[in-house]
Amino acid sequence: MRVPGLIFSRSDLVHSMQEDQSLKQVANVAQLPGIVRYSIAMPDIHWGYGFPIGGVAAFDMDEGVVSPGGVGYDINCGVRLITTALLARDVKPALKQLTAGLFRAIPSGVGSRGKIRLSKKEAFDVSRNGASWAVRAGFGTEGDLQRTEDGGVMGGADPNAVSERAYTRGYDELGTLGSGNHFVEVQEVEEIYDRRAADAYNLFEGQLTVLIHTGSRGFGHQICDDYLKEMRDRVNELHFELPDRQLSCVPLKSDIGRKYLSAMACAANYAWANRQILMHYTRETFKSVLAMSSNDLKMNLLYDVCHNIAKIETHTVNGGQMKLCVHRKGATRALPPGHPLVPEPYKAVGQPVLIPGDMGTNSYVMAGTHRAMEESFGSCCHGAGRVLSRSQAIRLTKDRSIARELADRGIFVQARRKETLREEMPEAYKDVSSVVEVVHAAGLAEKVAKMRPLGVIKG
Amino acid sequence: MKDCDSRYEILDHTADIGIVVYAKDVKSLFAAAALAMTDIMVSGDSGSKKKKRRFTIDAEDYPDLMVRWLGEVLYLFAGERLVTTAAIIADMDDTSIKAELVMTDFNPDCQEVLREIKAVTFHGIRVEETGSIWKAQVIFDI
Repeated sequence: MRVPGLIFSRSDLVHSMQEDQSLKQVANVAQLPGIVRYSIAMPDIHWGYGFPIGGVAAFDMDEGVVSPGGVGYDINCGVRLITTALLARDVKPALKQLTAGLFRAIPSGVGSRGKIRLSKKEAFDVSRNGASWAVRAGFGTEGDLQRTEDGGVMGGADPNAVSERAYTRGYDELGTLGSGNHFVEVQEVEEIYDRRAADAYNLFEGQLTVLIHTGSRGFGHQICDDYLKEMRDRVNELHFELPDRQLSCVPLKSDIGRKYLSAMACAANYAWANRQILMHYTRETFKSVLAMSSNDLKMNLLYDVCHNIAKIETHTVNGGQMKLCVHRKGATRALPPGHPLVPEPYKAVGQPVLIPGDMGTNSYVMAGTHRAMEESFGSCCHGAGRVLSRSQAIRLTKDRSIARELADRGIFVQARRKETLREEMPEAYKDVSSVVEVVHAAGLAEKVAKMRPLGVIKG
Repeated sequence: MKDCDSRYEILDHTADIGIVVYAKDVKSLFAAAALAMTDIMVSGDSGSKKKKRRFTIDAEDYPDLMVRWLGEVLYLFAGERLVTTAAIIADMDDTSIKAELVMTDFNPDCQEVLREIKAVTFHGIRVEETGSIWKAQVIFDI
């Protein structure tokens, strides 16, 4: 190992790490050329392809590498939280209708195609301009962009670095949710932990919020796959000795390394446009189902943050400033108060860090800290992770109706297939609360608010 | 998958899903793996006109070849909505495969997408001959 591993966890979470070989993956990442300080694991770490999910690794720009496996197949998978002026208790009578409305308005499920058909020229434009393309196309407001990580557009995107195959997959998937753990969730703010930060974020107890979790769809998957293949061919030429084939990587300075970052930025931009469009569909659904105006609903974006990305950032290392490529795979950026990239309204309290739960458990809003800058390159956890395989979940839910069980708890869920609900049942996931407690205690982010699910649509 | 000389099982995996495929020889193994992956992605038969596509894939070894081969089948479905119904392997060795895929257009009115596979991965990949049986294990990111 070139650097030590740094794992944020606690005794009750360590067991699952030992079972699924994710600790071995932390050690594997620590062997990569140019890694700086630590190979880091968040408390939600679990096994992933090459790099663990919940892993953070920063690489020196001159000596270091970039790896598609350190970003993941779903490039810029992320979450976006919308606040409203509504009280959940006032909306409850219409909740079932609202959930059904969202389910109709938002194309979801495996292989879902959207209402938008991009031309090649438009696909290039989305790749370059991300969420601002969506706003220009009428899916939202300029104000949304100011509350999106990096303004919803990653620089350095080169649409020519993306294959025809990726475009073919991307033309009709913009504005779709997808499947698996992706969701749109109507929530109620259940508890406020930090009143000052909550005020800055415009969160209050009893408030209705909406959380959207999705990414770059087949466009991003194909880009990751294309570059993993290309890099596998190059690894042999470079004589890198890799402990795992899925760790395929190339020097950041190489042509192929730069090209991957340019293509990855296109996928990141596609994902930001996607979440922006889904927010627009959500706003339209609320207006129509509740028969209220935008002015009355006040559906504002609190923040949009990605948790699968590699970014060029400057960090303090050994007392000096160093430009690094920070890979966050299943990890969220967490910037402290005063950081220039934190949106102005949040400057005094730090960047909102959004931690989604699953359809049966709470989600959290946290705030970034200086400690995260010192210890984890300004990074925090991203969620929970599965504990049961899909087959196990299907076996355990035989003769059970997950939709009815959740409805008994006041949570309406809709999915294309019953099997999806069974595979995604709450017990299939770790409890995100324990993960949040660890990062809070470690000082990587501070708890601001907890939300509970009321209505969920799944792919 | 209706072939007496080959069969497959679902492999349980916490985060994702995999297949274990068995066949009498390596050509049948690759053909069976393509149909097994299709089987876990899509149900039913559209009965539409058959389309054929020929291609050659080069790779480093059998595992690399299997990942790239199934990657083609996946792309044809995810990108072009073509469902593989047969795979004819004309020629192959451990670093190359020449094959023809027979496909039909996906029809959402009579077919259902069961699972969205993001990618075919190298994790736990195995292609091996054990006695008189060829066996492959592949895990998909879903």
